[in-house]
Parts: sequence; C-alpha cells; structure tokens
Amino acid sequence: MQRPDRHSVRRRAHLLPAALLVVLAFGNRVITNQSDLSPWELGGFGMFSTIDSPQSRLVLLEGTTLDGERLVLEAPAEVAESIQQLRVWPTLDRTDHVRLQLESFRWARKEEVAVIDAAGSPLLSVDVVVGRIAISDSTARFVPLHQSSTP
Amino acid sequence: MTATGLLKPTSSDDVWLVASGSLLVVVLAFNDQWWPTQAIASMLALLGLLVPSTRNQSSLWFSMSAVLAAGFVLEWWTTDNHHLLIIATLLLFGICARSRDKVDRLSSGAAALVAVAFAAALIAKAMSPDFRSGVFASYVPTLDPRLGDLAVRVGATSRETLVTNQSALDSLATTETVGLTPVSDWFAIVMLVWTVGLELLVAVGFAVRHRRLRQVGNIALLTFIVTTYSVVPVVGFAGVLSVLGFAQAESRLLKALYVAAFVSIPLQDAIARVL
Repeated sequence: MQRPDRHSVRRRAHLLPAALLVVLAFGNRVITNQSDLSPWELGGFGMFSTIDSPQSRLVLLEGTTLDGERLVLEAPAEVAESIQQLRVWPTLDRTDHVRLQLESFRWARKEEVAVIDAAGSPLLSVDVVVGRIAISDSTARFVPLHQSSTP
Repeated sequence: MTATGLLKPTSSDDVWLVASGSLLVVVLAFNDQWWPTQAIASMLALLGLLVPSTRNQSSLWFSMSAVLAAGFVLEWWTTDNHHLLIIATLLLFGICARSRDKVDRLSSGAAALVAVAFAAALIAKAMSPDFRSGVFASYVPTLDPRLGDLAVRVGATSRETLVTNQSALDSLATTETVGLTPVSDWFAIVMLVWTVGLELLVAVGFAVRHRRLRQVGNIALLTFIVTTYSVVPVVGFAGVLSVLGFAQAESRLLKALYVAAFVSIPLQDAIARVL
C-alpha cells in the first residue's frame, strides 16, 4: 500500500475540522448512551431530538428540620452552578456534592418552603433527587436518575 | 448590479475578507461562552477586524480556537453544539489562512463542516425514541416557550393548555403520573417533516460534489437558517452557518443571500428584544 506523502496530507488538511467534528459528535453519542448526559448538551447534535433537555429535568431538594418537619428546600444562588451541572450530566458524585452543599447551610421556614438564613438552624437530613420526564400515551412520569440522602 | 452579475463568482480576496470578517463578528458579538475565555477571544477577534492583514496569520485563528476550546472544556455545563461548530470553523480558517488557494480550500472545508453537522443532527433524531414516536414534536411546545409561542400563534394549541401542561409537569415532584394534552397532530407532523426534510437536503447537498444537489442544499440551508432561527434565535448558530454557507457558495446571488441571513437573524432578535 502506498503511503500518503506530506503534500497530499497538506492538501486535505482543510477537512480536518470536519473530521474532528465527526469524532466529537460520535464521542458525544457514546457518552450519552452510556451515561445520563443530556443529548442536548456538550457539543452533541441531539438538540431538538428529545424532550430530555437540561431545562426539562427535575431536581428535587427536600430537608428535615430539627423538629422533624419535612420541607422543600429553595435552591440558593450558591448552588445554582452545581444544580445546572446536575441537570446537564447527573452522576451520583454530583448529586452527593449538591447535598453536601445544602447541608452546610442554615435554614429557616418561609411559608411552605425552607430558605437559607444565617440565623436559622441546620437540617437533620437533606435529600436530593435528579430525574427526567418520560411521556407516553399523553401521560408523563418522573424517572429518577440519581438520589443522595444524608446517611 | 445586473441579474447576470449576481450569478458571477466573486474575487477570492473579497470572499476571504467578507468570510473572515463575518466569522470574527460571530466570535465578537454572537458567541456567548464563559466570560474569561470569551473576553480573550473577543480581543483577538477585534484585532482581526481592525488589522485585516492578521487574518492571513494562522496563529490568530488557532489561538482563538484554542481559547474557546479551553472555555468549552472548563465550563462544559453551559456549552452547546454551536460553540463546537464555531471552534471547528476557526480551525478551518487557521488551516486555510496561509494557503495560496485559501478560498477553494475554505469552500471545500466549509461544505464538509455543514454536511457533518447536519448529518450528526439527523442521526441523533433517528436514534431518539422521543423523536421517532412523535413525543418530541407533540410536547416540545410545552417544554420550550419559543416553540410554545409558535404553536399558539398558528392555532395548534392554546396558551391555557400549555400552562396546564406545565403545571402538571411541575407537580411530578409530588405526583406519580400526570396527564398532558399534546399539540394538534398536524403541527407535530409539519414540524417533523420540515425539520428532517431540510436537514436531510442540507446534509446530502453539502456532502456530495454535485452542482444541482449543492444548489438544493444551499436553498435548504438558507431556508433552515431563516425559519429555525426566527423561532429559536440562537444568533451564534445562525451566524456560523451563514459564514460557512457564504464560504462555499459559488454565485454572487447565493453569497448575497447568506449575507442577508447573517444580518437578518440578529437584527430580528434585537428588534424582538426591544419590542
């Protein structure tokens, strides 16, 4: 077999970006199939192919107060980035990370939810669940992907 | 300019000047990456715009590409496929910048990039159970307000239905299953056929070296840019696709249409924001 000479490789160098795009798009498909990465993100071309976008994923945050009351936790701005990472590519480590961040705050009840408040109290336990929506026959259900709870 | 003048090829220098300048505008004004890497890339883009001779230096394009690639990796959770396409296009300009036949190579490389991007989008749709079953087209107007607005405007659903659907989805935190109302079947079918049809025509038209097919591909790409990004105004994506379309277009008419597409989407977005 004849080896391509340097000139012929140079002549085709302008096709390298397209070749790179093929490799990255294929790699993205493999990762999407083997993990919970949203097909919409990270350079994949799965946008507008599925309802499983990061925005449609649900992150449920709940905590138990020292009085034993169960409350939904309002996500503070401090964990917004971690929650966005969780929506895009949820893993158990990232779910644990969000839980640990939430456990480090003090909380106070505000109407039906708990919000962070320096004068509040720590929580007895925190539960974080991330999942996606599945729809069939005009019925939607929540499909949990990862969960982390205070041990 | 006469009608025959519009069909004549443009000079290589002009094509390089307009294509490279437009891509620099995309990086400077239409890209929305992580701010530290975006700031560095914007400064480099400004240098290229103010000193046109630097556009013939591969280092300008490679450094912008490297900086944006670093931003892509470091803030992966905010990156979309158009960021990747912009990085690949910058690489292409860097490879072509110092060639004698830079415009020919740019044309060929641009066509390949468009073909790959649209083929990848088609494969993703073909592999998605949501897309094949019609779930995506029936419910995406509930999940994406931009498509929801379109569906309401054309009478495929009502604002009340979308709000009820959204409330039902929000209640999934506490309820096991909820009922949803899909958009009208005709809207879902038109959206599926329109999207897949255009993407297929673009992918084939740009992958095959056939004059007629390429013309069909160009018309499909222009239609895709104008229709898709009027509804979903991702100006970075519309911008880079217009640059790639311009770079491979042979006639002045097609080049003029790509320039019009390049300008119209951000203009429309800006007007919509003001209104």
